[in-house]
Amino acid sequence: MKKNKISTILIYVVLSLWALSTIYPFVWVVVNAFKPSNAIISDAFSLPISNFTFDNFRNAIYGEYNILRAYVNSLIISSSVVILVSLFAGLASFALARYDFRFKNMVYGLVIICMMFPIFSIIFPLYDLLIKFNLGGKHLGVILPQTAGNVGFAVIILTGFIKQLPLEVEESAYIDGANLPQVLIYLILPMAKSAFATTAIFVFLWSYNDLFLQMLVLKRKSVMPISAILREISSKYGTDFGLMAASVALISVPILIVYFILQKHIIKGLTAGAIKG
Amino acid sequence: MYKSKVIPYLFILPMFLFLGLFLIYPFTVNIYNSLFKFQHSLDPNPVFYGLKNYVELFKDPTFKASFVNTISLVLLVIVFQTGIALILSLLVHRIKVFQTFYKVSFFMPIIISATALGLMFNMFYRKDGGMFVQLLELVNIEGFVFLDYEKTSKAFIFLSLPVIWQYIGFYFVIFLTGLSTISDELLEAADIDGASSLTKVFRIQIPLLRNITRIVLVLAITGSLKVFDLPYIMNPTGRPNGTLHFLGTYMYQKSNAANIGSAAAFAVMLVVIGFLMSSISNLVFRPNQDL
Repeated sequence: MKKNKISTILIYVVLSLWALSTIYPFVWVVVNAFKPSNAIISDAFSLPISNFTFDNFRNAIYGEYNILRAYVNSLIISSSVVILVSLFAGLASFALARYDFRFKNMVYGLVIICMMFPIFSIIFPLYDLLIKFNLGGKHLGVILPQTAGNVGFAVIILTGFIKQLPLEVEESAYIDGANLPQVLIYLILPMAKSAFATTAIFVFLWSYNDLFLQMLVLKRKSVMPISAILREISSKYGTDFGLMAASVALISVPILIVYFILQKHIIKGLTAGAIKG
Repeated sequence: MYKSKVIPYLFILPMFLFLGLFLIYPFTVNIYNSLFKFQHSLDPNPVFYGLKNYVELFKDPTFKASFVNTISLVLLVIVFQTGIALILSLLVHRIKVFQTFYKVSFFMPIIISATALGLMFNMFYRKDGGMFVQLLELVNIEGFVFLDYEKTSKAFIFLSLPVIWQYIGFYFVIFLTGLSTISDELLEAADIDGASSLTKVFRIQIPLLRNITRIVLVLAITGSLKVFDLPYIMNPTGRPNGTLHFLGTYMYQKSNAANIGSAAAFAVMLVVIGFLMSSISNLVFRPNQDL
C-alpha cells in the first residue's frame, strides 16, 4: 500500500512539472510586461514592485503600431471567416449527410485532399489570383482564402454530426407542412448547435493565429491583424523586451480568457476534428 | 424526402467554388509553372524547362539541408512529442483528482499563436538576459548559448524544442480519449490475476491504443512537414547560410526568387513529400481490424 502512495505522489510531481512548463511561460510574459526592458534583462524573475510600469502597454497600444486597431482587424477577418465557413460548410454537409447523389464520394474525397496541403505551398499563384481580383491589401484577400482553407475541416465535422441526427424529426416536420428552408433553420441548425459551435471555435482560432496569409496579403499597418502586427513589432523592436512582453501578453491574454471559459468545447473540438480528418 | 437531384448540387456549389478557386486552381497553376523557367516573376514568356526545376532543386544544398532538417524534426517529433504525450496520458489516466486541471494546462500552448510563442522563445533564448540564460545562471551555468549558430546541431535542437513542446498537449488529449475507451473490467481482471502496473501498460493499454497511435503519428508527421510560423519567427533566413531552414521557411524564401518555376516545383515537391509520408505512416501502422 505504501509503495502505491509513493508512486501516486511521483505521478503528481511529474504531471505538475509538465504543467509548470506550459503555464509558467505565459505567467512570466504577463508579469514581465509590467517591468522596464532593462529590468527584464538583468533580473527576469523579480516581481514588478518598485519598478512597476504601464509604459510597455502604452507603447504597444498607442505607439507606432496600434494593437487595438489590430484587434479590430483580426475580429473583422476571423468573424467573417467563421460566418462564411459555417454557412457554406453547413449547406454542403447537409447535402452530403442527407442526399444521395452521383459525385458524393468524389466530393468528400476532394474535401479531404484539400485539407492535406499546406496553404504556403500554393502561395504564389494564390497571390497572383488575389491581385487579379484586386484583393491585395484588403481584408477580403485574407478572408476568402482562409474560408477555402477551413471549409474542408468544417464539412467533415458537420457531416458526421448531421448524419447522426434522427431522420424522424425532419419527417414529421415535413408531414406538418414545413419546407426545406424552415427545416434547415428551425430544426437542423438548433440540433447541430454544438457541432457548429465546435467548428466555429476552431475556425476562429485558426484564422486569428494564422500568420502566413496575413503577412503576405496585408502590407499596410492600418489593415494588419494581430499576428502580422506582432511580427512587424518583433522584426523592428525585437530587442525591446518590455514591448515584446506586452505585445505577446496583449495577443495571448484575450485568447486565454476565452479558452478558460470554453475549454471543454475547445479541447473536444480541436481533437475531434483532427481525428476525423 | 430528400430525393431532389438538384438541391444537393446547389448546396455543394458555394463550397466547391471556394475550394476550386483558392486551393485547386492555384495548385494546378503550380504544377504547370514548375515546368517553366522564368526570368523574373512577371516574365510573360517563360521558357519550357521540363523537369529541370526539380533536378536543380535536388542539387540545391539548401533544399537538401531543409529536407534533412525537416526529416530530423519528424524523427524528434515521433520520439519525443508522441512519446511524452503517451506517458503523460497514461499518468493522468491513473489519477483521480485534478484531471481537468492537467488537461487544461497541457493543452494551453496549442491555442496560442505560433507567432506569439516564437517571440516568447526569442525572449527566453536571447544571449544576454534571456530568461533561460538567467535561469541557468541561477545554477551557475554561465554563458550558455541556445541558438548557437556555430554549432548547428545544438541550434537545431533548440529551434525544434518549442515546435515539439507546443503540440504535446494535443496528442496527450487524443491518447487520453483513447485510454478512456478501454474497459475497466479488462484492467480489473488483470489486477485480480496479479498483473503489475507496468504489465498492464505494456500488455493491455499500449496494444489497445494501436489505432489511436496510428492517427497520432500520421497527424504528427504531416504536421511537422507543415511547420512554418515558429521557425520563421525565430530564424527567418535559416541562419547560418540557410543550413537551419525547414521546408516551409525555405519555400517561403524561395517564393521571392526570380524564377517562380523553381518555387512552384518546390511547392509541388512539398505536397508530394507530405502525401508520401502520410501514406508510408498509414502503411506501417495499418489499422488493426480486430480493435
